Amino acid sequence: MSDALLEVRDLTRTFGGIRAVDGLSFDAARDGITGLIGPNGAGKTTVFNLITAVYKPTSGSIRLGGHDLAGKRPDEVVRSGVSRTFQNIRLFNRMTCLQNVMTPILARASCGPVSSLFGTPSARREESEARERAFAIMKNIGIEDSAHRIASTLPYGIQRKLEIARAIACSPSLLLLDEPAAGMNDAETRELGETIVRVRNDFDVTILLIEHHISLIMDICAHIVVMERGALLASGSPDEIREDPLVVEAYLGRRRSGGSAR
Amino acid sequence: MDYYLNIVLLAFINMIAVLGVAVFTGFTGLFSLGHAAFIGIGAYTSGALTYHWNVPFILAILAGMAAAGLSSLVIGVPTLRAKLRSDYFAIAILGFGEALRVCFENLSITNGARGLSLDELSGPVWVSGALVICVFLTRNLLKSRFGTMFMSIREDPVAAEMAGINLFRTRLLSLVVSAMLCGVSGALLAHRLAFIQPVMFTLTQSTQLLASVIAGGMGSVSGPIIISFVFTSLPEALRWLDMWRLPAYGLLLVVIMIYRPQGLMGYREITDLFRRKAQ
Repeated sequence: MSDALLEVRDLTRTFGGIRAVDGLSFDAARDGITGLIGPNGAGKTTVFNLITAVYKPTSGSIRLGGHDLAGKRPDEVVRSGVSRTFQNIRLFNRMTCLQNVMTPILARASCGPVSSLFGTPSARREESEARERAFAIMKNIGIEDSAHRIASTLPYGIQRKLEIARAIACSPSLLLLDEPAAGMNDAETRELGETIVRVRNDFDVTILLIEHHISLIMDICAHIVVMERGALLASGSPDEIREDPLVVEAYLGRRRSGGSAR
Repeated sequence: MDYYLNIVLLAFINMIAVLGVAVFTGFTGLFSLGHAAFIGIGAYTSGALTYHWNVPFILAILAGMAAAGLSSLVIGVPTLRAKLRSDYFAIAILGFGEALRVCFENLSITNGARGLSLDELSGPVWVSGALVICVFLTRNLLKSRFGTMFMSIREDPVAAEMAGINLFRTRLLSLVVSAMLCGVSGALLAHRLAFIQPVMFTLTQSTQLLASVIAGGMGSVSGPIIISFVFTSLPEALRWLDMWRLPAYGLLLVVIMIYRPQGLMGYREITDLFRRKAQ
């Protein structure tokens, strides 16, 4: 696939004797939404941690837009265009919603410590530009009403969206979402799905999505990668995955054959 | 009158050091049990310059500030690069501080344990001028993008790194700034007391700085400054209690931590209170 933004090849990571990720290869198509599913403990979050350089791969390669990400620090990976959300929400709890979204924008700004000490006009201009951009992102995600509230006081659904907004503020080309719908009911999950699709369209990002709500995955993903015990079990379109006997077996258990008793 | 002026000036000098620890501990979330060492470096660098070479006071202060900033790199580069968790860092810097005190005791330029007798150069104008400049610049820095980055690291280092922040460089910047403030404080202290000796820069003093920041409120500039004034002047105000002064000091700290665990100002500034009333 030549239009793949993310190319993962033969990725392996072992912890002691356990192969958490075992020779995994897959692509995420540019500007698409790719689903990453599998039973608990299949190694999905480990894949995210490997892409973002929180862990170093034991072997294999990860390429983003043709460039190898090997040897980069996590913050360098972020700057080269990857951002993520976390399975257990990680916000800057005692900062406002606005400050949370502004942080990645300010982290990229160019003003040095000395001009910040003296509050020079260029430092102030960068600040107000960051504020405007943060507001634009919050508006798109639909959380601008909470801009001045402290992050830890926000309702759960808003916190999830704030995490997505902060990830978008990193200006990523690849956005990794780790179970964004965890703990949400069906209506909230549907609404989140709409938000994810809108984010993809409005911010031109490629999305890789870990999720246990299969209906969400089937609705919004063009391509699905299924993992089991660290390895690739299957990959394909939602329809192919739905019919795949290996996937059905992994999720629902072995189909009873002909005459054998239960 | 001189007596009260002296207390106020010592409190001001202490505030500058507390400001430094507020940047590092209050805003960046790293604990330090060794910041007295940076005060010591500022004191001895400036003291040696005025004592041995009659260097002008302003240059001696700046040299003390620079020396404290540079020495913080010695401990900061290896420990912060290793991403030591903040409690490990507190221990590492404790060792650094104690090692440095031993150096002060054995060098000839510091006159060893006998101490250095200096001129009393830190008058009211120098001290209050330095305090105003330090508060102004520090407040600017904390309101800038660096302040936001410091706070995000305090709140969640993993998420901060995923926001594209270089943890090592940002933490190191915070350490250098805080060490420089302590250096200025040390230079002023040396020429206020007109005498310095190594035992003045020990763990006890580092702990007091930390206590001021925690009791004043992490993430606040005004809170620690107010508390440090109270802590510096309280032992004098409580002189009539005689030997019960220190228990009274401890009691105050315990009462604050029970009734205001977030510290006097929490994560706010005293100016926020007035702003709210105006609305």
